[in-house]
Amino acid sequence: MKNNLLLALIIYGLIILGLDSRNGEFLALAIPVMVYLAAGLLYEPQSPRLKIDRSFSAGRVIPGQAVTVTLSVTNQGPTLEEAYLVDTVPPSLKVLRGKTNLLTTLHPDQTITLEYTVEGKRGLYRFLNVSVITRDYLGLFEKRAILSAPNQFMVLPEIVRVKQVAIRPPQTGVYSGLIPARQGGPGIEFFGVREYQPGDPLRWINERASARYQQTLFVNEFEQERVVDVGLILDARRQSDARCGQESLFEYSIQAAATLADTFLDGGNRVGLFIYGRSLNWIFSGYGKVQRERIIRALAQAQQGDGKVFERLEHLPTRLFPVRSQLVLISPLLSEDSDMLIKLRARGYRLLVISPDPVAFERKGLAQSAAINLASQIARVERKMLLTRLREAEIQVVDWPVDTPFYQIARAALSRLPFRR
Amino acid sequence: MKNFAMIGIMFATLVLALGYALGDQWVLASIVTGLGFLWLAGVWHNWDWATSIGLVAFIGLAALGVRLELSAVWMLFGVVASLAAWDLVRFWRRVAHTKLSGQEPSLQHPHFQRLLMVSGLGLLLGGAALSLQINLNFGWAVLLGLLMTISLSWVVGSIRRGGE
Repeated sequence: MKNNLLLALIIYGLIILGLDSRNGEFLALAIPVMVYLAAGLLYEPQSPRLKIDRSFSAGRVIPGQAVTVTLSVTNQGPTLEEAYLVDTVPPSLKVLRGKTNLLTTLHPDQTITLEYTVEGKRGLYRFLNVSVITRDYLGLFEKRAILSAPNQFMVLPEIVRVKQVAIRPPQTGVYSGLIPARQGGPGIEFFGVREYQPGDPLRWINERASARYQQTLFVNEFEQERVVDVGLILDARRQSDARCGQESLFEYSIQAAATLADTFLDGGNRVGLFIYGRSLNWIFSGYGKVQRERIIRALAQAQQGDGKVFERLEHLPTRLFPVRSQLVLISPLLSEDSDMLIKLRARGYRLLVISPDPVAFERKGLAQSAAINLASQIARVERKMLLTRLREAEIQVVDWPVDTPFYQIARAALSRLPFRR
Repeated sequence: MKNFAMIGIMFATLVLALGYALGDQWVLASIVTGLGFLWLAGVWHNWDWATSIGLVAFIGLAALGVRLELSAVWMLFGVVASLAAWDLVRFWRRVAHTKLSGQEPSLQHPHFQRLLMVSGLGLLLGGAALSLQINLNFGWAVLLGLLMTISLSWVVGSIRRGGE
């Protein structure tokens, strides 16, 4: 029951008793309660007129880095005797220091600051509202309001440094880059020998070859290095994910995707990102820092989905990717995915699959028992068969046991050019 | 802050029990003491319902004391002390809800001031009402009754409007 209603009922009760017994002493007992209620009415709070500004110590942080949230509240109305402010913190954030609520008196034009520190996992964190309850000192009457104080910060996915990811798609771009283009011209790596043409630099002349023929000069040709189109496909299907306690394999996929996007963009390549699993989440191909920002933002917000349409890779919209370009799929892989990947390879795409190992990841969270060991062995054999099938179709597959840092795997498996056909 | 609330309840219990004891109502005095302990236990264990029940019970016992023609002054003191204890318990709850001990002093001082003012005024007016004796005829009684009803209806109305 509301406090003020309770007091009103007590007053009523005492007055009725006084009238019934015609005893004024009952009425005298009601007087302190009346005074108390009257004081509440007299100082009844008005609707709060507050200006709230929210700021963060950083708008973009890496996982594990704390962010200090500062709420600056200015009272633009009359005195608020008792103001109770509660900031609505996104549930997945952990408050490390400070409090998200405040009980205070706010005088006109007074500004108070509420500060607390939070930490969160990868994601975009939107802060929207602050709840305000104002009361008189006696707490009899209150006004509630929800005030808007929007702002957001982002916990970016972890990016590890990888020097080079060697890829060799059949189709290259027109601009010079770092990817061998299978075409002779200016470059570093020896490509072949051809007859001298006017305009060729003299230092290109191959003296040994030229010495064998009279009146004919031969020059060395180098392999041109160009930029390429890279389509990153991140598997966000819930059914392909594996969990071990609070940990999800998807977070490793995100880390790999962010690292690869960063590395490819650093090499001047045109990179697009398709997040497959929840909706058609496609970041159009682009170059440079702006594109890097777009991709990192998309990865920071990436969530898993379990849409029927995206259950299998069959519905991968391949038209988004230029023909004969390089595709990089980051996925733990499901057994039925191999058919679509082989089809993609057959259409001329160069495919690189980074596959965080779900068997090893899930196994470490399970108890030791004969049945689990057997199931684990079967799963391992199945996965080995799947990867072998993909490799036989000339798909470059990197099996990544996530206990090993990605940069180590990348250095071992991706620093050299794959088999050339 | 919790200590203030506990002391408030103990004081209200003491005043009311003393009022009964002075009128040789030992059974009722012990009931008051028992209820006081229950109220204290309610505060100690954070039972929300105990706060309002405690206030209603104590004011009810004060009214019973008046009915039994015990000293009305003690009963008035009992009502004021119960009201103050009830207020302190609620204030402690509001402060405890924020879990911020550092903020208490800035709020405590004005709250206590307001409570002291209201309790003093209530005691003063109540005491004055006890000492004054006015003979009213039937017409005046009806008029005052009507006035009281209208004013209380207005109070309840404004409370409900405030709630909306």
